[in-house]
Amino acid sequence: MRALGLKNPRWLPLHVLLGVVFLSGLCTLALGSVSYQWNFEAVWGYRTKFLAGWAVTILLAICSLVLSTCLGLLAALMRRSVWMPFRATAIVYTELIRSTPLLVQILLLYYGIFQAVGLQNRFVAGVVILSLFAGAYISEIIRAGIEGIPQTQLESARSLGFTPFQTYRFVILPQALRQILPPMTGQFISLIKDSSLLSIIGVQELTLNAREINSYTYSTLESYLPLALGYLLLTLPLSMLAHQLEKRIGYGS
Amino acid sequence: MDLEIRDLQLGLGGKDILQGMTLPQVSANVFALIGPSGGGKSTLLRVIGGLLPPDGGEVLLNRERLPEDEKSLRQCRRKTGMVFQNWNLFHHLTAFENLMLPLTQVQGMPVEEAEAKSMACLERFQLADHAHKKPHQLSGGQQQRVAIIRALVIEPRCLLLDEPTSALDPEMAAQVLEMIEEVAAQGTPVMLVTHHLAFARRVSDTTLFLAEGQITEHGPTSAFFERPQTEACRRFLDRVMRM
Ligand SMILES: Nc1ncnc2c1ncn2[C@@H]1O[C@H](COP(=O)(O)OP(=O)(O)OP(=O)(O)O)[C@@H](O)[C@H]1O
Ligand SMILES: [Mg+2]
Repeated sequence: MRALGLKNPRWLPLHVLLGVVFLSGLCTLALGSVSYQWNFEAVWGYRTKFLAGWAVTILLAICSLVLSTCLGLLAALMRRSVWMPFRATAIVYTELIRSTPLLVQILLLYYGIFQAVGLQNRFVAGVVILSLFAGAYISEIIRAGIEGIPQTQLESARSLGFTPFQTYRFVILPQALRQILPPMTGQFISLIKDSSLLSIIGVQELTLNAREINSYTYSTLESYLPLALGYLLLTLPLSMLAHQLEKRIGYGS
Repeated sequence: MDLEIRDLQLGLGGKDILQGMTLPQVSANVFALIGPSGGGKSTLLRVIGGLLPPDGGEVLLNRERLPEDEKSLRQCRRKTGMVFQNWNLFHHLTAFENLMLPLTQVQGMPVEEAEAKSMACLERFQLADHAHKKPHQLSGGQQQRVAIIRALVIEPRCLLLDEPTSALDPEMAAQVLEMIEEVAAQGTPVMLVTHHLAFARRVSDTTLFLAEGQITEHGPTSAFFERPQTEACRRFLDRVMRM
């Protein structure tokens, strides 16, 4: 909640509502001055195309979340490995991904590598690219989660006679999970938003479909306002969930 | 409890900490370990608890030699109750779960029995009302008392306490000390590292004075405090008692 500057999270819905009313008031004023002609009827005819794009976006985000979590876990464990080549590989992977724009990665991987190896399915290509991208960030989230456990907790487990496996199972895992869940939710939100960039390689997701609807109907705002709304419907609940989780991990320290 | 130490050697991070520490066999129910900072009190307690395998020499507890391999040492730790400064409890578990986890998973006690035992132990020390609170919802003193209960509930052969009150304010410290006194009076052997010399004097039967990795003086507590033998020990007592 601190991030939003709110003292009492119960007021969050009210704040959001007030914000929306205020902002839409501003927009109406701005648009009113250029006398925009609304034409929702033409766009309404393409509602199934819109919904299909929305479904693809959701599916893209979910598939990428699963794959990137696996990749992230692997990279995090490799980073903690005692074997140098593992550590080096993990470091190069995370640093390369985190230091280049996603758009560049999409272009390079799709046109440079996937076309060369004959990966034709755009959806699969999209999932792989997004997962490689998010995996680098997730590996850092997981690493921080494990390394954030105070040494005294492990020492306590040892003094009680826990085996190393029991320590992982009953102390490290549950404590790390609490640390990891809120930033993971944030990462999922990013995945949903970042998937819009896949429109440039022709993945039939929400953004691409909205752009196509716009080109058929010549009604920009009627296509793009629902587009923004489509993303908000997915990300706002998740962002509230992240805040809830964040509150729950507090050990009061 | 009997304790004997023969030529104990231990190095940490390339530094010799204990260089041939020796103690003839002494019997006591409550041992107090005192001495200047860096003298090796915590290190010795960790060796006795089976957390730090020594590089050489031997420690005999009740005439039994401490083992050297990790597996037997783990068995030793399971029979020893240990409480260190602060943050002993698992953050993600309630007070009750903190007692239950080692009982069921490590000691292999059936769940119902463990539940009954944990609850009885919390009640005995007036902490039953706090059973279902997480550590961060407890005061520092309550946390430390739960930690002591967790060490006691396994019915350890001895209880090792390393400055269990040093992170607490005086009132909370007093509560914890009271509890330790009660535990000792009921017959559980205790080895206590503490800066509360008046307390050490009251509850312990034998005092060991550690400085520079050696037990430079030891003896029955009353004699020890009345007639310290070495100059170093006298100066230490003077300095600390004056505060
Ligand atoms: N992990 C370690 N690596 C290197 N040196 C260590 C380590 N732990 C302890 N020491 C050193 O060993 C010596 C004894 O430390 P120890 O913690 O046993 O002293 P202590 O008597 O408990 O002191 P205090 O009263 O301050 O707790 C100190 O000089 C300390 O610097
Ligand atoms: Mg110490």
